[in-house]
Amino acid sequence: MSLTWEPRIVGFACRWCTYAGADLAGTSRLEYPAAIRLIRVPCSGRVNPSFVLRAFQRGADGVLVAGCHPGDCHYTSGNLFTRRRYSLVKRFLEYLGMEPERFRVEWISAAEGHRFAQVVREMTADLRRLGPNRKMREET
Amino acid sequence: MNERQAKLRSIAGSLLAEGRVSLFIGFGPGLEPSRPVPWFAKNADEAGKLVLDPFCGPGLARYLLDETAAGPAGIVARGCDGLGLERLVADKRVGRDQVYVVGVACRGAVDPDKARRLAGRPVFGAEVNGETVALTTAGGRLSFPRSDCLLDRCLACADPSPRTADTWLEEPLPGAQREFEGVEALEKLGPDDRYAFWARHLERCLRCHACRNACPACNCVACSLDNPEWLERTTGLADHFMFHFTRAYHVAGRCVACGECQRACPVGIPLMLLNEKFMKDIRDLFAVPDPHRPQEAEPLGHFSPDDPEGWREGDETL
Repeated sequence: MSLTWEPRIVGFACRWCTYAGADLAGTSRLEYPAAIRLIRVPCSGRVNPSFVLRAFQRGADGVLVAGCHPGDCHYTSGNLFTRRRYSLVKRFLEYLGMEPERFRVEWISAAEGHRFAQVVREMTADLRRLGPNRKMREET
Repeated sequence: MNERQAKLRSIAGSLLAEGRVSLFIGFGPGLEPSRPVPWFAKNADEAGKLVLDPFCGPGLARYLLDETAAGPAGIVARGCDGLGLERLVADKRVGRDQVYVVGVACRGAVDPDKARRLAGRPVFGAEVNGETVALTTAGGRLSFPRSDCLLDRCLACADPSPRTADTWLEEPLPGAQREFEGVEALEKLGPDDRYAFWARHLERCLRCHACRNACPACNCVACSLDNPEWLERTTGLADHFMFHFTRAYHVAGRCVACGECQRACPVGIPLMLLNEKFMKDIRDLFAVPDPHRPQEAEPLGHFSPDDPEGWREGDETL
């Protein structure tokens, strides 16, 4: 850990909604912390739960999975599977000892630039309070 | 000799003699009386050596994967074996018509290690009578509470008999509701204590894959846990977390709670606490009353438009 630790968030963003929402936040000149690194995925249903754990292991302090609102999936039902899956995975990660604030699932549409900025701000504030993640980390 | 065993031998013997099955899977004599081994009888002679006593511990369902290739196989099935078979049939890995099920009413299997430790000397026989277990040793019969002698998985068992069978060795016992007391106790701890608990257990993992190989739900032909792109053959704690997270998630909604993973684990990791966490959440979030019994629709294989968002704070437990 360097003296100037800053939280790092890995964000998995659905290509159709959240990624466009993040774009909107940018083009609207909204300010949000640079802590988040977005990874564009075709659908929130594409995010294998192992990706989430791997992100934590390789240095993420927080992970965000974000996609279209239920009912708005470009592929009709991808995010409905996401909802089922991550309902379980979120609780399972906490059961293994992860703090609840470190992993979030959010629905952010292409029109919700404000929401995207707000989620990143909230998460960054939570992670600043918690400090760097050391749980399940790979030794470096 | 016990009556059940004699009856099983005669049923298996005639099934084999009539050619209705080419193989009968049960238990046979092991190196010690307290450790019967899975037994694959191919003729009436071998069927005459079948064993059925309270030491019959290992799950048998998984053997059907390999053993039904040559033709129909018979199997002696307790509740756990029955659910394992249902799992394999639901996953289309074994045809139900390729299996002849002899159902039994199981009152729990005695853990040979626990019995040896309690008795303090080699144990030759056991009898489960309600809440006590009588162990036969060279020094006479010793009696112990059931909860001290049985395999962990048998203590939590809600399925003494299979749900269906082709013939019954005895009157089947009804199933019960499964409780998740171990999971609830762990949920009450704080995140750091929970992490310490799992780190302490997973640190011991040898990554021998015994839990996966014993599991009737882990029946994929190719397994992602063998793929170095997902998981390298390294043995750090982080990789153990990856392994157990992936294994538990891959059987979420499919685990039949036979407890074979935990029984097979050489270092005693409480693997069922991982599987049961998913079961409990599936029960609570998706209103599946018996998540360990194979469902018409897999809990993670479908969705409902009004599913809850299990990650919302203040939402039921955790």
